Amino acid sequence: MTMRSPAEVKWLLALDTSTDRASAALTDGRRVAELSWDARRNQTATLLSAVDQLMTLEGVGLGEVSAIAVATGPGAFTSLRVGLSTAKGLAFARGLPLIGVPTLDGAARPFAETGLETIAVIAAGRGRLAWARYGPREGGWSQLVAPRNGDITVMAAEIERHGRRPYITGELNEEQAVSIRRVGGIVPPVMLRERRVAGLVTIAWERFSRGEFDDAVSLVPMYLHAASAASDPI
Amino acid sequence: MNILGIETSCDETAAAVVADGRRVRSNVIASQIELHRAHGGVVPELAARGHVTAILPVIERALDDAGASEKDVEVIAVTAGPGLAGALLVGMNVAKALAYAWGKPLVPVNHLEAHVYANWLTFPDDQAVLPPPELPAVCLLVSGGHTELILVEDHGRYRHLGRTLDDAAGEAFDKGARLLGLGYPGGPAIQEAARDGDPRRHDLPRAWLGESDDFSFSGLKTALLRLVDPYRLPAPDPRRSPSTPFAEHRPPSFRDDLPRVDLAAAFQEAVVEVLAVKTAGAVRREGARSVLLAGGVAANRALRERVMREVECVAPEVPVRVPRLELCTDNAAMIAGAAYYALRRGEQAGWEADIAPRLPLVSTS
Ligand SMILES: [Zn+2]
Repeated sequence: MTMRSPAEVKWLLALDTSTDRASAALTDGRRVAELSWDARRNQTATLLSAVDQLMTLEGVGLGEVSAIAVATGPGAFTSLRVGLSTAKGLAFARGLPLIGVPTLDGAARPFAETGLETIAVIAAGRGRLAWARYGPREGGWSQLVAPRNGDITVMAAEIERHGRRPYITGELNEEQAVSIRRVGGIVPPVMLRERRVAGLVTIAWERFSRGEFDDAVSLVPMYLHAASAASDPI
Repeated sequence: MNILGIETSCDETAAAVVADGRRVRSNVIASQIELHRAHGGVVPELAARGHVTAILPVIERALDDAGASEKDVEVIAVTAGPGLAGALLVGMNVAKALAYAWGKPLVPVNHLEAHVYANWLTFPDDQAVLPPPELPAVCLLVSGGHTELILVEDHGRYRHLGRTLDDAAGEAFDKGARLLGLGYPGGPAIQEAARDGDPRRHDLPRAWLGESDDFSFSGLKTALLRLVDPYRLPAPDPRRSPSTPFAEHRPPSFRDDLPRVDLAAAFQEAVVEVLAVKTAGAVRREGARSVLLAGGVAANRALRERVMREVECVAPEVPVRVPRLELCTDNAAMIAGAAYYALRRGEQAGWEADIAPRLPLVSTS
């Protein structure tokens, strides 16, 4: 390991607890160290331990971290708040800028350079999905249709109606993958379609380089659908 | 030793700095009461959302008010449970991040135990600094979330004498107030209405549950419902307003001759009498040397007076202590206070610390 001077090397720490699969990553703009694990109901118990392991493996101290990034959803509300609370606490404690990145933007980012029309999808719990469509626009590549949610039949019907063959990335189980392939969606094998935190890290690093930060106090998750079962007074 | 406490178990976002388990250096509470008022009770999802935006300013102000910075804080304490999972995890994850980033010990605190320790806290402007309560003590913890009768044998040694089998006392007040078309939260609303009422004009039941120290308030609610029902006017269909996905509470409307103040007085007395008599009974039986009130309902004047009267009858030498109102309701000073004693017993957590929404009060020493 080469000695780095804290002054010249800046690291960005990114957290994603949008769904049952949690991730943490570190980048200095040249390389990415990342961890993904099945966090499920253990988001709170596992996130900071994972961050600590990642920092130790990469040989990075918290004093060398210059910014915190966090996935802001859509996702499971409770999971999202685990990552957001941890990110807020770290940013506050070290006086670091905080960068919130929409989860589906991060999931889709690895395919921007392909120019492919891409749908990024996450499992929103209870069989529901949340997805957004990305593709070429005005000489670039960006979000074409904002995040929406529904079950697999809604998503399949939308793809069929569009009549194109979008590339699908994100969380679909095998049964759902079959439904999407049937209507023309290009669905890679499960290991390749899982959301990679490197996408979120890339967007966050670009924003960090431009000095585009969020307000740590007011940053909130994207609450895509109205809470229903949990919405009544106790 | 300065401890930064953080509390987000229900609908208050709170942070405080307490020195040596007793001296409150700051105590900041951001109440969400306005957020929940329109729904007639605490909506868990809304509570969690509120904590996410309130937490950093509250912590910052607690440090500012105490004139403390990172280096003056030696320990981070946080409520681990019991409480609402979605609410608890905001405080827990922020606290873990602070402890990690500052390299300080993290102490998870039982919220019920912390309510007991509110009786140890002092303020710089206290007229007289009371000595710590003498143990063993009987603690009556009554709020919107709890109704517990606890024997504090020693620091960290508790016996749960009784608890509610259905509604918490504060919840009973909320439901009673709702039935009477009074405001939310129900405790203060009923106390206000009861002031001019005659508690003897209406007969409401008391659930004594034999020799048990447990409580039950659901029968009382049903009895009140039966008394107000003849006065109720037909209500329009409940509708969800387009501005919020959360159900809105529409107060019922009544005929003008509803004996509201007398019913409020009778309801309050029925709740208070059972709480006070069982507390006094436990004091006598357990040979307690002090009585501690805790929780938001401890702010109720009728309860304080009745507990003092009942204890006076069975054990006149035993003092009844009630924390300041701001320490009765949920706050973080009590979390920082309890953490001091927990840390002395070696209760410190690693980065794998988690919330425990159903955490019971157990003895740890
Ligand atoms: Zn409480």
